[in-house]
Amino acid sequence: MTLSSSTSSSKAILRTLATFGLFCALTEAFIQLTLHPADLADIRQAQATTRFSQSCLVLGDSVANQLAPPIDGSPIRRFAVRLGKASRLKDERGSAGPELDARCAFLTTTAGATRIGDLLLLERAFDAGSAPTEIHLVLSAGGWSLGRDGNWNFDDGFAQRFSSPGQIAEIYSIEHDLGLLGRQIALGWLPSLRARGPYGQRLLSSLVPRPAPPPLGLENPNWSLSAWNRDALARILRVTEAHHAKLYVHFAPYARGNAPTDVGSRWKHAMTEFPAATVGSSPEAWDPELFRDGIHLQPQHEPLIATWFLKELDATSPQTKRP
Amino acid sequence: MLFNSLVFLAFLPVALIGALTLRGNAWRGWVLVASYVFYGYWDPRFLILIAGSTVLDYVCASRIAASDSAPARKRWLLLSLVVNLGVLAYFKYANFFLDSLDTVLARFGSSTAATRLDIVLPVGISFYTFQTLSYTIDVYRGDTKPAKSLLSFATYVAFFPQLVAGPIERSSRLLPQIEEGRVRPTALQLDEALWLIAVGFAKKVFIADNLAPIVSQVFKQEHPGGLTVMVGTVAFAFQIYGDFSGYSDIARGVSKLMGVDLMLNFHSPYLASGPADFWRRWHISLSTWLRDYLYIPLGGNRGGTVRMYRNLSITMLLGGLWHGAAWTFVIWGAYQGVLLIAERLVYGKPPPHPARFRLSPLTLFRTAVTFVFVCYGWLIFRAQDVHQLWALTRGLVAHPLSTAGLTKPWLLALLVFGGSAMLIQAAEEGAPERPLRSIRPVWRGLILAVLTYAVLILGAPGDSQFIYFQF
Repeated sequence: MTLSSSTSSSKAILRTLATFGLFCALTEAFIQLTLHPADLADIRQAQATTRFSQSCLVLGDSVANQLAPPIDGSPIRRFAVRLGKASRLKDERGSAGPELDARCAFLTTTAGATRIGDLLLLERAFDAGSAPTEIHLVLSAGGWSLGRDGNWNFDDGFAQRFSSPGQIAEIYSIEHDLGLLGRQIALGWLPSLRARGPYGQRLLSSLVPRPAPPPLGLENPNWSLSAWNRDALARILRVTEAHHAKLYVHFAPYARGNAPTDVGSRWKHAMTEFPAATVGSSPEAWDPELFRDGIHLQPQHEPLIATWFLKELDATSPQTKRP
Repeated sequence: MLFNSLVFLAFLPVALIGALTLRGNAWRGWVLVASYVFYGYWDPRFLILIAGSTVLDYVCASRIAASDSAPARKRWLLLSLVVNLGVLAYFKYANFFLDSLDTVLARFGSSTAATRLDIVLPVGISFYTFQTLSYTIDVYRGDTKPAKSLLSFATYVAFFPQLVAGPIERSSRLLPQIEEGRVRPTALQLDEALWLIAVGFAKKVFIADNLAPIVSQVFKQEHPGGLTVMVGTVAFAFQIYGDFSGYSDIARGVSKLMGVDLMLNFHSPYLASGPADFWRRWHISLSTWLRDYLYIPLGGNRGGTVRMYRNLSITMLLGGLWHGAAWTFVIWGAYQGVLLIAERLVYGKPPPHPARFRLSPLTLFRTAVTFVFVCYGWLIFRAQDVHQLWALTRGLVAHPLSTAGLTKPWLLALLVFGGSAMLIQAAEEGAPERPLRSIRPVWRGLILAVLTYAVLILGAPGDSQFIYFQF
């Protein structure tokens, strides 16, 4: 580009741009250092790369994540984690390590991570040398009906978190979606965009409370298996079978009235497409008072879901012995 | 295509590469194709409409310029006016008139079987229709020469930065720049573009989109308290300012990157010291269009005070209707007319240029009073229908201090986002395009970075549409 004005004006522009670039680079570096290690999907990806010895691996969305939440502390704490001065697995309540059940490793994330995120975590775990023989996928009511649009925007969970060059290339080779490719690159490689949720939106939501998105299942009133989930489940099954493991799919309890009464049979019917997967016991409708939003339990009631899952685990894989 | 979308971020560099390397017809062709891609990304069917309007006005203006016969010239002008306004009326106002007819018939007990037409309003039709009309009228008046080629004219009509929400550019200003072919951006233009794009995005994504949830939550309440209505209305005042002025800023900034200057569309409107001053600062391209092609042809200030007030009222009424096909817009236009007339009655003829804002008690008082009246106008503008307008007004008058439906954090949000909007307007008051001109580059870089991160981190989520797209 040729500039037709005086050299001094051009120099002033260049200086402005250089300063702007420097400030941006410093801000991005700061956000990368303080934010990056503590995002849920990031933590789970890091955990997946560490070989574990358990024979059972649990994947799933935020309902499943109530079984074994990793840390979600302040930026300073995240920075300490980054520097290795704090335990990654120590949660805010101060209880360090071991997982809910010694038989299982937990790589549970959020609905935003989507089934494709679960698949990528699973692949990463196998690549790291872990050899689980049971893969338990725990889904919330309606979680299987989510697509890539809507209120439960996967940009927050999937595109931002699963954005290594290999993952981007793999997803593009399957989806051939330029929009998704662009989002994965932009959201994954700019720490400030990843900071929108943890920093920006949390701050903004205290100023301008936004109406909560509808319950998961209401996004798809048919409660049918979305194409995005169908594709990912098929691929999870293929990976599982390739590693001589068995896939178990569980349907988490939901607040009574938050899903149609026949949702369990609809779900089982949808899962007939995947005969190789074992579907857990019939879904349970619990007292809505136990929940904070129809799918997640209130903190004081979280042990209930742990009890439910252990029962589910014993029922679906009786060969796994309790320690 | 939305400016605040990832697809535009991918589109812009490609469009700029061609615009900065090609020249002559290749430049115009490239910009035209880019503009049609930009517009057609929303709905390619409506490209036919914009292309048709382009060809019609090109032919009409060429015939007008070539003809020496006054009746023939008038016929070509009429053809352009009838077709353009006819298309606009069909797409924008057909259902409004059918609904109104339906209501009137129902009052007389007649059948209310009038069917609504299944019409999708083409984005930006009001903007480009007014732009092409001004061209034909200017050629008819002899104020401008006809375009040298259809390609130049088509590029002028569809120029993508301002196609869907203005500024409504006059041919005398934009067409010569397009006919020049490649226009190299100067350092000054690049400097201005940096500010305009950064502040435009901040106005839209940080201010307007963050205020939008408050506004929608207030305006969907059935019986909000008076104070709640005030908060919602003031929030809407800043939302619509951030949204529309932000769009104009981005449009002008992107255009400057291509070396093309578009007219100033907003000049710190909430620092206006009276209704007339407000209209010299708000949507300047529309208010000057209405002045030149409606108010003055109606007689303007000539013919006595009563005729002048009549002309003012008609102009503002039609200006209101331009914004949308609803009675609230008609009332809003009438309200603006009343404000302008009242100002003249109280203060006499306002000065011809925007009054420079000064920090004096009298100016502050007049600015505050103007803001209050402007805000009530926004209440009319934002109300869903006349019933809601009446209910909200009643709430304001009957229970002005009631906080029913008000959430405390909204006040803080209004302070943060409204305060930011006022800060930007104060900065832009002296030099709307280069408020940072006297600041050292290091501080300019820092301010631009702060604006950028306000957008990236604190910007509202999602690709929300610009409000004026619907007009």
